[in-house]
Amino acid sequence: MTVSEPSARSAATVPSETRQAAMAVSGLGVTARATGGRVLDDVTLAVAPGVVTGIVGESGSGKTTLLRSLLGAVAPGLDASGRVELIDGASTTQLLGASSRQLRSIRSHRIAYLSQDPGRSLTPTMRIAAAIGERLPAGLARETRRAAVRELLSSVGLPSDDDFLRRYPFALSGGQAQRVALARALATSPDVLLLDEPTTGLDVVTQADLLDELKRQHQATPRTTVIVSHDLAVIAQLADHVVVLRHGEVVESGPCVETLRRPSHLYTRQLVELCPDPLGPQLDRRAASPGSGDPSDPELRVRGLVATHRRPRRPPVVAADGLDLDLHAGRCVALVGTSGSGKSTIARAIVGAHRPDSGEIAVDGRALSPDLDGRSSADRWRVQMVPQDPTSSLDPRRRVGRAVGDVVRRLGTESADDDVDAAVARLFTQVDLDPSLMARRPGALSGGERQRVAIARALAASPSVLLCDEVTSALDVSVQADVVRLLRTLVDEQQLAMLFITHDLGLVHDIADEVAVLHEGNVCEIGPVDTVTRSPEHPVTQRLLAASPSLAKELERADQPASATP
Amino acid sequence: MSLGRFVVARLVATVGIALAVSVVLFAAVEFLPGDAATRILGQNATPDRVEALRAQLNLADGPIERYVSWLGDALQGDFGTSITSQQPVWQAIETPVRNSLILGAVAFVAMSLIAIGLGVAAGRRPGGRADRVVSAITSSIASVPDFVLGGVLIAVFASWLDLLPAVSLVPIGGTPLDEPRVLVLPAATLAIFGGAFGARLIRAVVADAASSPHVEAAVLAGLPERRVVTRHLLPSIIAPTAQVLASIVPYVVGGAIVVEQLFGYPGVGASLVANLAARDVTVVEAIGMILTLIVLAALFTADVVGAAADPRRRTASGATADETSAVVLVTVEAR
Amino acid sequence: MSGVDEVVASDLDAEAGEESVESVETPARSGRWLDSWGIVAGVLLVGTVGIALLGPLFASEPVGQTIGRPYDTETGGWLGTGAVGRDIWSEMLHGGRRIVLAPVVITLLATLVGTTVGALMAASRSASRVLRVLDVVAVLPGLLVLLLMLYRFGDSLVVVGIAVVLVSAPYIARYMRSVAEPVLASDYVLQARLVGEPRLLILWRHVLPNLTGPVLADAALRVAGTVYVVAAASFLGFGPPPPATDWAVMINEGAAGATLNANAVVAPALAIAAFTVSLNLLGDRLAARWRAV
Repeated sequence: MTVSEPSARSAATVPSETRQAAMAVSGLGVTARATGGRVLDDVTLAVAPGVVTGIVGESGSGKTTLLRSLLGAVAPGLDASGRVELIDGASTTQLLGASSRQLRSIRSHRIAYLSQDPGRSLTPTMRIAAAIGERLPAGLARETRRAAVRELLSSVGLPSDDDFLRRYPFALSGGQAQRVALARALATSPDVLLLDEPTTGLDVVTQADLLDELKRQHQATPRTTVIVSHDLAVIAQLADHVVVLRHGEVVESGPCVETLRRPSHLYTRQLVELCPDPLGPQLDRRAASPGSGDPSDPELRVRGLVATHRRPRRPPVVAADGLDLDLHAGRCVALVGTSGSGKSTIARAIVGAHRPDSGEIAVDGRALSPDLDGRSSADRWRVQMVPQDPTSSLDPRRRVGRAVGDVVRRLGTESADDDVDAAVARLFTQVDLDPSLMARRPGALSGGERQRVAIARALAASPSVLLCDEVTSALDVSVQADVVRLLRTLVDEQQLAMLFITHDLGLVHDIADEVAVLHEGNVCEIGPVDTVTRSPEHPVTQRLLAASPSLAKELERADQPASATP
Repeated sequence: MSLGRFVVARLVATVGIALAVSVVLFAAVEFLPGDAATRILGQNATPDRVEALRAQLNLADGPIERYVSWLGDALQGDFGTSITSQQPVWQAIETPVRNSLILGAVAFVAMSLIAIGLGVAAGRRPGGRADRVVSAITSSIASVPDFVLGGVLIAVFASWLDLLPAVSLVPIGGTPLDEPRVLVLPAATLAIFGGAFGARLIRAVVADAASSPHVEAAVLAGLPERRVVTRHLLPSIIAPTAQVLASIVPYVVGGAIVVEQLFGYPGVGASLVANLAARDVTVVEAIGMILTLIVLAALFTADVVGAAADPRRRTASGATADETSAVVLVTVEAR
Repeated sequence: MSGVDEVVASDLDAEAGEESVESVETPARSGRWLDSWGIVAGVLLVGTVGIALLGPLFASEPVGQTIGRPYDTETGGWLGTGAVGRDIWSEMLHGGRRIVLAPVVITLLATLVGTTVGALMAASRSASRVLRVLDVVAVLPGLLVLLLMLYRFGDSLVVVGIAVVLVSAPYIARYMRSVAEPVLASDYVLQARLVGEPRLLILWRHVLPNLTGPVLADAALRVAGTVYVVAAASFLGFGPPPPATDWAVMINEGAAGATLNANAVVAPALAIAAFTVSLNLLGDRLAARWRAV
């Protein structure tokens, strides 16, 4: 906050201190015109003035539709009924069905919206100065406008020099772009701020930065805010009030801390329990670990792995730079790193799909060829991988039973059609899938079911080493918990050596024995899960841990009076 | 990369492609199996004439030497001497080239307006009424050969309504601009067909941009509609639109050959067909090279316009192949 | 990150809503790809192809027969006479085979070559570099290539076919590469390799089925383009040797007498238009159907 002209200051900040609006939704129903399916069903909620309301829900809960209806925006193909009102003192404005002129005026002065992955909401052909400047009131003098832009930029912690003002969005880092988008939303000093999954898709450190910034903004200028997220820990960090949405209906709402501490609805309780937490209690698995596999005799041994992910027209990512890793039978190591650090490349290098620059990969003491073509079928079967995205890991045109059956046939243990089918059915049962789903194509399965099919297919090769690459990142928390539990069962029962690659420290408790933290192509810290998460030694681990959202930590923090939100 | 450096890089690449094309063209026309002079003149030509032609074509030299000397002359604007008329080639093709440029320019401006107008109208709201009507019409028109379309136009405007001439008679020594009526039907034929084709591509471009997160964000920010269109939507479609318009230029160039034939328009297309029939290689080479240069100039302009409109496009050389494939992919999308 | 799922889901919803009004897309999504326009196109296509193939059997006059004054609406069949006083209806019945049959064969050939090249480009980086030569061909106007080839190799349908293959193969190859590359780079192909499936089996089992739809749809749409080239060659005087004729030649000849008897132009023009428009409508539906799966 450096020197700035008084007029600029008034343009940027004054009105919000004088006005605080509330919003009310009553009997809101949204239906898909084509199918008649209900997206939202009789939703009623009150958005209190000056505080943060959090809306939490899994996919298909209709939370984005709800948030957008607060803007009076209903997607084409959807029909809305009911009332969505902006309440300002005595005056009330109904937003559903308002004229586009009225909506435009409300959106440009009263209610601002920040979309998912906010950086992408910046127009690529507009310089920063113009992107923010265009939201300031019309008719400002050029210099006044510039000064206001500068002030907004520094208020979100960005440089405000001429060079920065002249930049295009593509010349910004991801975090900078998000802050510019935030500054753009705040430029009109809106009465209400709507945030739509603002941190989804960001890695934990960037996410923590953006959340801190939002918190800071709210403390500086309390403003009616609605934030939508699938992540309870994110909601808990910001919200004073929480609304739990499921299948288009509000199942529970109330003050955030109390509601999350003592959820009254079963679904809320389930969400709270399943919320991944880096400080959560580790499952008791001492029974499985002793004796299973001599530490000196690893199932998979990686030594000095150097692998580079080369991208067209962008700098290469050094995924592994002399990486050492041991996996033991019946044990799971979680490999944790920020997104974009090249974790997938490491997994691909181990299975032979990505040619490493150097290094040695050995299974059961036998070195494997770095190239997949150089590995025998038997060698390939030993190491299997479950890829991240269940939509692209299954051939859309092949029935899932056949996809798994292909592997069974390749192994040659069964060849008659009936025997293969029986083997596939056994595998389906093993991953908690109904064998009747075998005749389906992937498109007719849910995300969780597809991921189980992918696991079943990997298991069909009877591997001793299983690499799981962010296998739960596309799944809802409830489904995620089930898949993680399934994987842990497989480790214990089949004595698999598992590498569980994730960006989410919150998951490691439920699956891993050990956690390895990846930094610049190397493991910077490795140890038992509890040791690493409770007393991290390496600064990278500490930073990662501090940034990881934790519901327990937030609820604890709420007890301390100093940080209580207004 | 700065815009200036980008322009230089693209210019170098374009010249490279032009040279490659000139090799292909020269080889295609000149390196005939058997004796070129005999082939051109026919079996019954007198030995004297064959010898004379041999000398004129420098057939005694090797192919590379002949290409180099042809290229050297062509760079200085000397395309050699026409075999049939014994005039300098440039003199023989000057009038047709000028007539065709006039027709091409009129048609290109008209088709750009049609393509952009209809494409934007349809792409603004994909699936809306305007989109359905425009898509149905453009898709049908774009699948009909242009001379078929021209035939229908002749039947309607020349035969039934008797408004416009069916044959484009240009006064000798004059230009089509002296008698603008003769331009209307050929230009309309080219413009309607090319415009329909381009509208489909631009519709896809606009529909894509209209659903992009930044345009949606601008709408949800309550910006005035005009500002959303001019500052957020249009700048992101300038570059692909330039690519689309450039991709129509080869059609204008090729389609003009046919359309000129249909209307008897005295342009380069008619000249090309006549000289092919007369086996006048030097004229054919010159016309082929001019047509190709027009196409290359269009692609180059589109690259530069795109880079000026969108700073992200000022990336390293080698863009052509990717850019072209982008257009191809858009074509696929447009279907 | 359930949010990602939701956005995708809501996008799909929105799309379904939008596209339910789009005539071209709806039938595919609702599983009923032959909507009323599709049926109209089908009838039109069968009719045109029927006239083209069987027409010569029903023509009242032999090919090239002069029966009266040129461009006379009174003499001859119901369409009158065209250039050189031939009966237009008889000429129509005689002149369809070349326009209808040749493009289908040529397009199949071009698709075969283009797909093979595209698969090569997708499978091997070095091949794709070599094949950038094709970009040079793509710069040349297609009709110029056609004329040069007709000039060099003589005017025959075979040369027209080769020219079409040469000009369209780069585009088909690019398109096929764009379809095949994601399949080859997909996790399911990687999974197949991880259990030791041989390359050929992977191509057969995963790549081919995912390519068939786009290939067919592209070919169906491309036939219309080939009709253009074949007809344009005829139109420019590289057609069937006289007195044989086809619809494109008829347009060229009829244009001169359009003011006397418009049928001489309109009849062949409508026949070609009916053929290409119906092909295009059906191709659109085919493409949408395969995209939807």
